[in-house]
Amino acid sequence: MNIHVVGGTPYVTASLTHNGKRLALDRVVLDTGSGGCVFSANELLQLDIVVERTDRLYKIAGVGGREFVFSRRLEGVAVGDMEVRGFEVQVGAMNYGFPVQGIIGLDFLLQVGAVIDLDRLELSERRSSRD
Amino acid sequence: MQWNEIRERYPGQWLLIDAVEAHSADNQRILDDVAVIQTFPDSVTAMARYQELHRRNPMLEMYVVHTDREVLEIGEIRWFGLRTAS
Repeated sequence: MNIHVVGGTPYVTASLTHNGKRLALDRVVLDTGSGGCVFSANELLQLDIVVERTDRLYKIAGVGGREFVFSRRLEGVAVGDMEVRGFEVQVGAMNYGFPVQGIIGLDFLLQVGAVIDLDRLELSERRSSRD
Repeated sequence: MQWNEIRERYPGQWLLIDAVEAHSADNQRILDDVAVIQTFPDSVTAMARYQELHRRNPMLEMYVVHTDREVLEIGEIRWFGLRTAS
């Protein structure tokens, strides 16, 4: 999986599966500084994902604003060949002032053991075997 | 208003609310005073309105909630945010 650096921000393509549908998003920021994964509520409408009455809610507090997100367990989250089935993500407005459809955060990257190669601008699965 | 009062006044509805007063404790966000901005027939239109208002004022603390929810349980996540090279 190639990492594209645009305007100083690293992007990858993420593929989400849910409700028997598949959605590929190519404006997803690779962010080891974010604990979890966040995706745009507008994009996830395509997977019939909307906030439900009893979804877990969170407030994301950061620099430059605050937003609320809801939590949803997706059937699958994949970046290239790296897939996690049954993965919890946050869904929110993501009005950050530049085009972004999602964030791949540390929880996903740790779970797949991702190797971020900034020399070749490649994101790949762990090289070492680990049980 | 308190959440209990809001639930009584707007039963079975989707709301866009604003936290007039709130505080944080143990990674939870506790809303001490809540104002109802608007009611909606479904969560999709509520979410669209939220995004519109949030774009205009990202510092407002708003939530899309349904009054079937007995307690407003809101977790808190810290994120430093993205900084682009400029």
